Amino acid sequence: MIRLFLSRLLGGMFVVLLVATFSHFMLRLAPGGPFDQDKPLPPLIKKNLEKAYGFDKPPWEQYLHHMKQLVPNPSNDFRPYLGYSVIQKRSVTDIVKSGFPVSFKLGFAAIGFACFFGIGLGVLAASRQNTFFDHGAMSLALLGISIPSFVLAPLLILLFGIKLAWFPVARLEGLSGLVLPSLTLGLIYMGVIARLSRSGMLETLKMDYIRTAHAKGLAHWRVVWKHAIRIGLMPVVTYLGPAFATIITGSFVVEKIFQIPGLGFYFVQSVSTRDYDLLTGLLVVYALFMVAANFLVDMAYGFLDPRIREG
Amino acid sequence: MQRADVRMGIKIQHVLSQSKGGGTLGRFGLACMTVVGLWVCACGLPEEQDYFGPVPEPDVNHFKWCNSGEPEWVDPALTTSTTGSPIARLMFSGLTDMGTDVWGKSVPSIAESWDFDDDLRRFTFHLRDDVVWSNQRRLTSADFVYHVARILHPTTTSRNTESLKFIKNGKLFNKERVKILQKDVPPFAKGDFVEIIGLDGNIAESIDKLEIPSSNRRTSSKDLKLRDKGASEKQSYATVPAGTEIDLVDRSKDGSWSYVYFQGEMFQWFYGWVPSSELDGQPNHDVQYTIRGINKENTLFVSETSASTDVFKKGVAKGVDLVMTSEVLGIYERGPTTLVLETNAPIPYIHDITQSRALRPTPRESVSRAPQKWTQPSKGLLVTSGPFTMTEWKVRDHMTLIKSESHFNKDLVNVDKFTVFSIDEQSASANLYFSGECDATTSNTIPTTYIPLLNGIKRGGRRYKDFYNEPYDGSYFYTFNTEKITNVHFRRALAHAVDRSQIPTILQGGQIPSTSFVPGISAKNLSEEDLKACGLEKDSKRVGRVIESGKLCYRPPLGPEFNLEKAKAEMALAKKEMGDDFKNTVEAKYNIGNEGHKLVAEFLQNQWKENLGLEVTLSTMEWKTYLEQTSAGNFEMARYGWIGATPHPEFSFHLYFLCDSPYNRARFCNKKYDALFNEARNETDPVKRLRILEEAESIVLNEAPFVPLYIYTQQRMMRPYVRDFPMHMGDQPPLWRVWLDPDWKQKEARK
Repeated sequence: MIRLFLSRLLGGMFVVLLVATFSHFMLRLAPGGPFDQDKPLPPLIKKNLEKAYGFDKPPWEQYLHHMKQLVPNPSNDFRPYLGYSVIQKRSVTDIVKSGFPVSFKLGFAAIGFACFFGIGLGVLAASRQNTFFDHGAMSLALLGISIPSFVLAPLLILLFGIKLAWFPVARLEGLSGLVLPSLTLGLIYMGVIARLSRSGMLETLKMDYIRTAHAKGLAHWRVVWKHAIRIGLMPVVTYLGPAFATIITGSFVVEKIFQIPGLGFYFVQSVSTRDYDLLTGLLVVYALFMVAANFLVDMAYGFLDPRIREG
Repeated sequence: MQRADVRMGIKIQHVLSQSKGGGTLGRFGLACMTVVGLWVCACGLPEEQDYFGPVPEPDVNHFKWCNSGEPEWVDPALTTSTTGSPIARLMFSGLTDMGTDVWGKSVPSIAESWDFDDDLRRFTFHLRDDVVWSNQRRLTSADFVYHVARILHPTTTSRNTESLKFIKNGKLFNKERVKILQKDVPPFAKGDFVEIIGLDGNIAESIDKLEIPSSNRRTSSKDLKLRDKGASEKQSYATVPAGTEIDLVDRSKDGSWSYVYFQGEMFQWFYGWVPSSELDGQPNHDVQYTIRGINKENTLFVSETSASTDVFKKGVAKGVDLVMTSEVLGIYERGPTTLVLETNAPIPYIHDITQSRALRPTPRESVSRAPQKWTQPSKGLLVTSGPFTMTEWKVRDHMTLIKSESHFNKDLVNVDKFTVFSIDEQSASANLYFSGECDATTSNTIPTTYIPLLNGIKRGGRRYKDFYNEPYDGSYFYTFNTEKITNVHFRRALAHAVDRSQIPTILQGGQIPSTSFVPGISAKNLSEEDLKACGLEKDSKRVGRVIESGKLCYRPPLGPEFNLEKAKAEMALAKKEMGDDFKNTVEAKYNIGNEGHKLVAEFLQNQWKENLGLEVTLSTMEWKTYLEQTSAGNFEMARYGWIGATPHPEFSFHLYFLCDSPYNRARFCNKKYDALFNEARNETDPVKRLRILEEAESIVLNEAPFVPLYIYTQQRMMRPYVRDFPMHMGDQPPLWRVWLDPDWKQKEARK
């Protein structure tokens, strides 16, 4: 167990470092820089700006400096420093601190909604295979997967925001402001979860131990909810880990349409404005969540499937 | 305008990548849903009402405004955007303030009156004596001197220097090339102002490319405690480690205190005062600078042209003898309520410049402690001088401003609270307005798809009464790279072959087709007296740029109008002149992100193909790449837009086509044009100035370095109860006197 944990930790750290290195160089290779605007700056001003942000140093020195800030070491008191956003004029830590709680709230609501309805639909479809319920649930799931959020969001806003005026049309204020964006964001995940849980459940329901349970005379719903679901949902759990890491770090489209000050906006903005530190900082945060989520998924396997736990 | 394009760009890019991810099914779904969406949109919005959305009861003490995004700055020294400027103007009072006419012409503010010398190059402003900052410190003329020096100082790295280059020595100060001699260096005397033109006795060929070591760099042998002037070491807020190189920014009048700039680790920057005696080291004290005297007249651009012109005396001085302080600038105090401005050329309209952001002082005590962050209320450093002050800034969500009790005009302020929502998505802005969250939106925040509905095209001609479509001071055009497309006949042929009258139907925003560079207002929208001043008839298709109502009007000359015969004749000439070099193709670049750019590009492609048989290849790129490519000259034709700021065309527009203009992507250079520009700048008669400038513009139009297309318009929404929220040609209306009329319904009914 400890060995597994350690190897995962090391592997994860390596992945994060790789992500940081990659993003550091990729964005710097793109043409243009953060200070380029349609009205060019006088040379001295540009030089002063580059000096202030350390862009005047040779590339390898910039890289080393950047990594020295990111990686906990004695020179930064073991406190990783994510850098400074040249465009937003705030430290990246500041941006993450203000944006992440918002994205997390939205993402959590969305994934909660997706799990609840996705698993419900999937299990329903699997336990009533090839019936009206199955076809209905899977059509709904397919619809969820195929409608892009930039189409769904305006429709929801028009119907529930403008026509019926039940929910705010934009901005995340109070719980009611959470409904439309999390619906928009969660629907695609709901679709995927529904399909994964259906196929997982179908496979499980054909297994011997389920037949045994039936033979013992257990009620159908009890077999499904007590015995089949834990194994049947394994694919969903695999999917949920990375999905969770992605969803809580923000979605550009949904945040933009609903004007939510989360992190998703910065992922895209930092690329188009060549905001080097911000992009790397965000990707590092994202990578950390991804690594952690995958680790948790592995842990969850053992919890859900007794065979893995004992093996 | 450009920024809006960038934002749109991101959206579309993302949208594209999303639909790719969705596969065939996703794309089919997308198509279906778009059709459904458009259908719902078309019939989903209310049709019978006079106003867009239910009109809420106004809360007379609270004005809610949907701004067009998150401002990058609200510091008047740094902000350059239309999102930040209105907020900066609410918080910081200026020498003069914006009036309510379309150009926001100055009305007295901190300056009660002003007078000027006959040569129109020295202006004296008389300030009110009851102006205080929100921390109760008195605001005096010294604050103006500090603020101007701050903007122009190269360590501030402000993009706002443009509006201050008229100040004597301003441009050189910004490049750190003007110095004061500390001792006699023949042929100069101690105290003379000199300009650095090279190093080691040589004169630099192109001085802007030369790296000049700063003679203002200093070190100290002991730790420096940065503090306010005259304060003790204990009150310091930052420490400069001994031996660190810092910049000397300014000095107190008697020289005993020095104001320095320090770049600390981890992006911590500070300014602060230290006793001058503690600055005992000067890294560049032995560097030999080639200097020349500054002409007392200091006529415009003398220092910009080649330094080798042998008009002035030259000499060589060592770093230790040269220093740059705000003393060199043409702005100084003469007592706490008298401010003097000296300019490098006559300015007949100083009052139109003094309301700019650049003359709205910022508090030194706050700026020094956190040059980039002092405007964030959470830092506790925000000190303001305007009618409002900020209490909350939630990034990418909203700002709260409340009425300032220390403002000298507080009795004229009508609302107690101002909420500014930072909405960067156009549809969200329109929807929030519809649902009653905002009382008004900024200009250019209405999605193009809403416009046919709002302006009444889709409602049998019944425009929503709270929708405003107004002129905007910007030109949209395609520029040639004149170094690649050298043949003037070829360029003229293209300019003549575009039927611009189709553009308003393509873009649907009421754009005004134009054949000139400088924008104006259509003759049909001008008043009788303005028409007279412009010499235009009501039914004329031309535009007039009214600079002073009924008195001064700039009439942009007519450029290459749509004329097929002329176009073909010019093309034939081009073929003949170019011979074998003639290619029947041209490449036009535009940046992605705005549906309008694409529509216009395809329209042009079609026009040139049909009218001239020319093959036009269109190429698109993302904004930053586009900027780099176009400024490096890697294009034949490129889309561009240019937005003005003041009514006076030479600052806003003529500057663009000067030989040494950094904005001149056409790489157009015409000596006669430059000469006329300088002639106009030195002319004191305002009418004559305009005539010379008109002549200059016609030279450009005749040389056709660009294909003029249209004049921008701006669209916005405003509730019927909002009062004193005027329209402004540059989308920067003054807002501080806004009020909400609870009796609007009765007044409407009476009408």
